[in-house]
Amino acid sequence: MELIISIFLWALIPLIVGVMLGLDRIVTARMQGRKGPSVLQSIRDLLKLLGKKGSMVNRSQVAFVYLALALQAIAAFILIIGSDILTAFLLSGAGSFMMVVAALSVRSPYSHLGAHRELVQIMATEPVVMLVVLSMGYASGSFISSNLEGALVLTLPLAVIAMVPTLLIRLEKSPFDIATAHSEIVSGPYVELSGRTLGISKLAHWYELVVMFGIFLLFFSMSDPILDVVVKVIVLVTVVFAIALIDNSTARLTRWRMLRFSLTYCLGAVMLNLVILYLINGGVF
Amino acid sequence: MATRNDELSPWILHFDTGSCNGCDIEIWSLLTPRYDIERFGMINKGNPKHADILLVTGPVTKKCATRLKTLYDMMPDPKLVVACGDCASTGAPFVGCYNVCGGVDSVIPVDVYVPGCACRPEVLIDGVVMALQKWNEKRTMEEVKA
Repeated sequence: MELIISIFLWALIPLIVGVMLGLDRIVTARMQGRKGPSVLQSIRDLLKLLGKKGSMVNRSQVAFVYLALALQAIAAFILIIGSDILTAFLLSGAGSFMMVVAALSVRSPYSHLGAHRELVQIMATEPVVMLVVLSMGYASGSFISSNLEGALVLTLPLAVIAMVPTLLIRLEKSPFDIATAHSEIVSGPYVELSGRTLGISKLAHWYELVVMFGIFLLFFSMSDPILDVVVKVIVLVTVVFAIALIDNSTARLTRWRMLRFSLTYCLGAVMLNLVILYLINGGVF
Repeated sequence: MATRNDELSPWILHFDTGSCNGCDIEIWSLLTPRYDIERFGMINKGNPKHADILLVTGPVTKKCATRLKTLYDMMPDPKLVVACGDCASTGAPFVGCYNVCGGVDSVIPVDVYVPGCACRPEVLIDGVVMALQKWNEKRTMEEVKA
């Protein structure tokens, strides 16, 4: 029964992420004193793109984009059925890398610039999330997400805080909208994609967000199923508001400052949390 | 007004082919809180491969003609072109100049002409909405071709 619910939830992912991104656009518009689009606007954009034929630069780029979607969708599926978090995270990382390869397979210099910046973003986020996943495993003795302890946020609070800049980087939001900087390098890795292929790459990105937000929300698991859903929805909405606020109040950083920020403060926070947990478990405190 | 998904999310590309920037300022004012075209799902995209509607301002100078044609060819079908302002529609005072081709329709096919010097933002929104109504005709023509 749980498996059927998981598969149903997995099939609804585009709808859920679309509404989340739509909410983000409305909140952003209201912060700028505008009315903003409908909450379904991101889904409409996706459907429009999937319905457009578009042009193809070369076949390998299209193949890599489809491969990225497949890897991200499988990663999201593994996470949702309550299986191994580490596998889901590594598969999702491979999917992100496929988008870089897709961007490097065309000749446009903007696409190459975007691909290199995307690689720097991957360098900034992967070690942090890797350490977060490892610390979750250390705290509950298992990487199987359905076996994790409830309310991990109480034992790993610093890891939760360290995940927020990672989410910003993965959402391509300011101050970390470095790879897709629209006013600087048009749209980076997406520059040569059009029509349906662009839609597929967007969908791959949505599944990637599900993996990242899924790992984040695992910190807030509760034993009571109704309380679990309520807490996760509240956390998700709060995070969307916080991200819109950060996005609207900060300017874009350079890629090296992003790397330095992520690999010192975020990685440091998770390590500090692990050390404290180790000392508590050893009976020092 | 519009019901289909593609009519509800038109992505716009703006190109200046030699305008005095009067019409350009009016196009940029569409993004401000006063007009806020994002409420219709319109986004300004700097990339022809992502765009659905091309907004052109100014008379087409001979230097710009090939660039305009390239941008038009890069946009995926079905695509729409809106000539914004008098210069883009007809060439206005620049017709016959040694360095000007004339209106936008002397280089690429135009779907909607928006008059005015400079064209008002309200009329621009009307022009884009009118262009969207032509979308279905274009789509049917494409299906017949296919």
